[in-house]
Amino acid sequence: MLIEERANLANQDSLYIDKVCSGDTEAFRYFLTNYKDMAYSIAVSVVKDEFIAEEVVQEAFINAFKGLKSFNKQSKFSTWFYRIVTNEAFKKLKKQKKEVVSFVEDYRDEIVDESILLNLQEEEQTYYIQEALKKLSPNESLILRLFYLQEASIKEVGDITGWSESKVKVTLFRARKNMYLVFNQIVNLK
Amino acid sequence: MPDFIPNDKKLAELMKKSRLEMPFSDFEDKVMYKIKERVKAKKFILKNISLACLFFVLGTGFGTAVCFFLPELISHSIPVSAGKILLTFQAAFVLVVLTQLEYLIKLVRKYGSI
Repeated sequence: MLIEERANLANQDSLYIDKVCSGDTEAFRYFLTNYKDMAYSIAVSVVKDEFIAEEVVQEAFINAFKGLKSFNKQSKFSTWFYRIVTNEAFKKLKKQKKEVVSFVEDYRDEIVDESILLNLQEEEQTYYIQEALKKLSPNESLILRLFYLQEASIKEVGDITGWSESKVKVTLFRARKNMYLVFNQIVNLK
Repeated sequence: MPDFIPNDKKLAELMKKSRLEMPFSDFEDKVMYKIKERVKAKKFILKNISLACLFFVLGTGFGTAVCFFLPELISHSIPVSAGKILLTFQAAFVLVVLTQLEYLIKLVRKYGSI
């Protein structure tokens, strides 16, 4: 996203926050329209289930509405809101005690061939990316989506997840490797 | 650290395809409905809290007045020690005022803002 676009978005966010805080409840729909897809992507990264992810996003939006008056506008609305989504998603995951099998392999023993994925058709690529992200651990798929999709900086990712910068870097490094490994496994199984 | 470092640009390009769209078409309406219901419920609660505050003030005023006039009433009607009755009434009155005040403070803290 361009710097100008980001600034415009921040201004719009601020305008709508003021509207909601002054009592215009319907103005909150703006946030739903603009942030629901990314929030859903984040929630799915963690909980790995579309119905639970919907619940998480719903809760996150309601919590954001409740706490909007306490939002101090020093950080971006997206950072603040995605933090709520992330917390809600991990809370749900803990509650469900659902075992997410993380993909842990020793990548030094594997030969990673990126060309396999890059040679696939676009639709196939999209499918395999979604599948690979499902197989990665919640932390890894979350960090990949935040870093590459949301184009958040390391610091922003840290602010959203509540992790230290070094943890973000290490998790991102592992996530990249594991992502390619999972790709290869899925494509080879095809 | 492992030797292999994947090409970041390629991964970035691929990850652009990982955006998911909310698959539930009624999602926005559902959330807005919940939020509006919440606001409505909050407004109702706030109205009740203000009524509670009003009656608390009226009750406290009435209780204070009773405390003030009680010795005179007792001395004219009942042949018992006015001091004892007054003291019992005052103790009960203070207890009631304090407990009700605590309830009110808790309510205002809980539902103070929408």
